[in-house]
Amino acid sequence: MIEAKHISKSFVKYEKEKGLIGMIKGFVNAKKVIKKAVDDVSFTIQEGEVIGYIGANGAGKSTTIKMLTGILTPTSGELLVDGIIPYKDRVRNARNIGVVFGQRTQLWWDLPLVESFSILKEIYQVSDEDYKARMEMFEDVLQLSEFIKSPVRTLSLGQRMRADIAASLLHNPKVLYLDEPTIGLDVNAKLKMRQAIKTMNKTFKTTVILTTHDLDDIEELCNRILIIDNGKIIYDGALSDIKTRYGSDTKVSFVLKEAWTDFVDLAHLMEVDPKDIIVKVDEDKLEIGFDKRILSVAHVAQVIMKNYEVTDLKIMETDIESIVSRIYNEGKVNVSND
Amino acid sequence: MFQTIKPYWAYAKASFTVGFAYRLHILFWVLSDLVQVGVLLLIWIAIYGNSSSTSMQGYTLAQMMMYNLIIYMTASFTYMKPLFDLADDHFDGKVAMSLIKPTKYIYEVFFRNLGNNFVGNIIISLPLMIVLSTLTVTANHGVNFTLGTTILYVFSILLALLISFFSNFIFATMVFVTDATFGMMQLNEAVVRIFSGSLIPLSFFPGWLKTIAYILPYASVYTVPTLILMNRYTSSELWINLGIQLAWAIGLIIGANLIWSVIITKMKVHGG
Repeated sequence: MIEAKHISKSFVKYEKEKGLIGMIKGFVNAKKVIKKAVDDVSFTIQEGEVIGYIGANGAGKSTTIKMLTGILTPTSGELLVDGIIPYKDRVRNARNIGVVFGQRTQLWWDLPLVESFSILKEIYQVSDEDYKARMEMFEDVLQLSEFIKSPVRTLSLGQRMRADIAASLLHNPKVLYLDEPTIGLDVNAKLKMRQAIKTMNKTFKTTVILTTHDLDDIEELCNRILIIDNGKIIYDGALSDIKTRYGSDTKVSFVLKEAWTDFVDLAHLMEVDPKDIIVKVDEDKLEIGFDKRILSVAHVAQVIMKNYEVTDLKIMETDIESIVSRIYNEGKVNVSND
Repeated sequence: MFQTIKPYWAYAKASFTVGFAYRLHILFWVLSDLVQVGVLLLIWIAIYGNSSSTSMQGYTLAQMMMYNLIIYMTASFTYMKPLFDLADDHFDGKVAMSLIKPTKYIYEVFFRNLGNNFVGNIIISLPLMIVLSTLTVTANHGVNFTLGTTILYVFSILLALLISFFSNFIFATMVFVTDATFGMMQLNEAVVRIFSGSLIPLSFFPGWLKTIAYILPYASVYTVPTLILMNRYTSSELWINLGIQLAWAIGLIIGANLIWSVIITKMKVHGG
């Protein structure tokens, strides 16, 4: 469905020096700086996939989406979306895609919501039957009727986002781009958004590309993730792969009845190499970090409980959030992909 | 053809609805323009009052006042200001939301402006047309609207509308390059005001200034329809001027499309 080959996008920025004199100097002769927002990115996405596209702020996510939608022209590389080069044939590509930019709206701010839908219906030339059927489906998933007669500017953020996602799906696009669709939403609204995305993906095999900072979105929706950092793709693969690679780190923390005083060799007790466990002690709190593939949680708990009186214990598995932050810090991921 | 235009009418309908909801906004805009026209009329009264002859450059005072009112009406019939749209879309990054739609941006903006233009026509241009027609019938001001001149006027206005939009669009694209909206607006206004004939009839200009005015497209937007309605052209002048209008319209449509196709590949989209 989507094929990107070595696409790059650089922007020319004019750097100005500080202060008044710098400003005046910059007015005449600003320093030209070329910034590569996206740097040699390649990927292939199949029909019906739900892709999580993640990266820190300014990593190049939105720039990629803007190239895929045909808004920006890549500086170099090839791009094909459903057989169409988006930036060359933008209008034709636009019929196949739906886009939600979380920080913007495609709705008419001053008009009642329902007017926006009927305008979009005409722009995309959606037939009356399709329009009716889709509005009913949106009603099921997104409950728009509570506010469909209100002007868009009076909607709450959650309502507006629900309306925006409905707007992007009105013409049943083959590909749906969601650029931070759950930004600033409360839990309930988030659940509704996710439900709508899931329903569309299941019913129409809509391919979905989702950028987000909310890793629950990723875990709920995506079967594959792309991680971009500094304009380069540093990971492309299944979410489960990255979880087994990084997610085996586990921590168990105990609260002991008495403060920890004796320095027993825990590694010896657990019959492992001392470098395989990380022990942290803070008075009556004991925290043991280990790799799940070497030690089991049960074994660790058993050993500790046999030797000490434990009042409380908590098991912490690595969440995707800390995995991602680790990857951002480390750079390139060395998970083998096939 | 009809199928390809149909989606665009939705934009016109939307901006018409929004524009009509904010009609007070437009009304005040109109009133401030009317004050300016009023001042111009007073200046002409003073000038004619201090002149020994009753006619200047072929205009009596009554004709000059009609000229000012008709050119004002023509200006509001052809009111197209894509600069506001482009500046707005550019600085908010809203242009991204236009570019994800299966329509061409340039024609989207055209129809958006057309919607606003209709609002203006309903609350200013058409009422003014009725008032002026009544004036020419009831009193002798040296100007007579005939059926023939009115039909030609409408035709000329349609061409003027295209010239107005596409020339202003080309001017407005500079916002994407310079990032300087307010200055561009002022410059645009000033150039249009002087060289369109809306300040004084172009026949008052010295030769070289007249040449500049006729090299620029603005005379075709304001002066030509106005003089057609006032029946001041000989028939050969009439057809030449309509021909020039047509040439401007076609040339500017092509030019605007070319310029936009270059700008769109180099564009930066602000925000997010």
